[in-house]
Amino acid sequence: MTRQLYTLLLRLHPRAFRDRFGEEMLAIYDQSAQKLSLLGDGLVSLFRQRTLRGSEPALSRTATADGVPLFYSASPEVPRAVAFLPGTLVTFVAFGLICFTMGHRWRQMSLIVGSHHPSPSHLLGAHTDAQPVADLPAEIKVTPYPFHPPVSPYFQLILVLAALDADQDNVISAAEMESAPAALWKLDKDHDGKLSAEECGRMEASFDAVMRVRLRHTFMRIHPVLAALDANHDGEISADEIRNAAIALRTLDANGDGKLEERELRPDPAVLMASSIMLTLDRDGDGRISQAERNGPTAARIRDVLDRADQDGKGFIVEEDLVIAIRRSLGVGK
Amino acid sequence: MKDESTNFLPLSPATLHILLALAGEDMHGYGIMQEVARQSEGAYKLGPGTLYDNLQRLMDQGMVQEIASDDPRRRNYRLSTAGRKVLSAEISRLEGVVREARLHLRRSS
Repeated sequence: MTRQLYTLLLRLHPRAFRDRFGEEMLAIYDQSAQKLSLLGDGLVSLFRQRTLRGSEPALSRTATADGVPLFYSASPEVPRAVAFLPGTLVTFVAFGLICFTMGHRWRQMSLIVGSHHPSPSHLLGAHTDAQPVADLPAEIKVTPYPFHPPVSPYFQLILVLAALDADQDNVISAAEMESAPAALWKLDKDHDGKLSAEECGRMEASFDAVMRVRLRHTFMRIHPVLAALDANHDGEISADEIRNAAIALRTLDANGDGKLEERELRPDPAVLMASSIMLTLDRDGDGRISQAERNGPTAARIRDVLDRADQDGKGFIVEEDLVIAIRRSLGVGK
Repeated sequence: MKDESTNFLPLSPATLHILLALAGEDMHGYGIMQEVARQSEGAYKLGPGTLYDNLQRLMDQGMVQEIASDDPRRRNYRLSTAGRKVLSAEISRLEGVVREARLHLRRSS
């Protein structure tokens, strides 16, 4: 029984030690009369081998000729090949998780790598002999970081505005106006050197060919930014008009603050409604709503507006009449 | 220049007795155990675990060498030149301890 226990103790020793001394130790155990004390000795040996000897570097001290110092030499140890497998697996899993996290943003959260808050240690001293200049033109935009405001639906509708608003802050800055030609050229999808109404904005496509021509002209006319760019009002933005885009855009800066905000770019609601009425009722496209065209069921629903627009009694209504009438109805009449 | 042998001092009782046992002649493991018991008049007995644990370390440190034996089941061990130097250094150290001890004991008596 005790021999089995001693054998078990030997098996628990490190393999190198067991292979080297195990047989001799068992032979001594067999010869010894004090077997119980040898069990205790085996336990102490097991403890030393597993705790102390394992952590010692495998050094061998080599004796040399007299007068020459002794040398330590490290025994050649190569990691087991199987030990690389778990490390490789963990590396691939960790790399995959990082890539997945960077590729999928939850709740619009951005993964920020690096320091967000600058500290004085990041600042380096600088010296210059240049004279200080007062009133340097500077524009500082402060937006909630790292989120951006949602892009305005109007900017999404008018592709020209979406192209001009490079930083997607729903404001056309002075710098964005300066770089307008480059931004507009990107909208020329068919590379014909000009921008059609379809390239300038998202238009309703469910109309016949005749109505579509009228719709293009109306679309280019009622949206201030398109009307400004289309200087000759031919329903297209030509190459020359693209080159002059910066100057044309500045004419829209009503408050003179050097930038175009959405309120300066949105069409007049009265003009919008009037043009819609004209497109619907002016069936022959002559730019007038005649008495015959006012007899339809659609006209009957807005009879009050049409009657107010035809106050001069000339017998037909033009868009300007409708605009005035609508503005009066809205209480913003001029 | 400092003798490298002193780096291993002081020796543990087990190491000292093993080196002393091998100082006379080459021995196998069981012979070392018997010689240690004889040297200490039975007061210090080495178990095989302690013996081979120390032998392994002494061989790694180059103080003991394993040599061929007629019996393949038994290995003989020999004190190396480096081991003999370390043993000599330890004996000198112990002689100094004994000398100092006697001097102090003489003064106090």
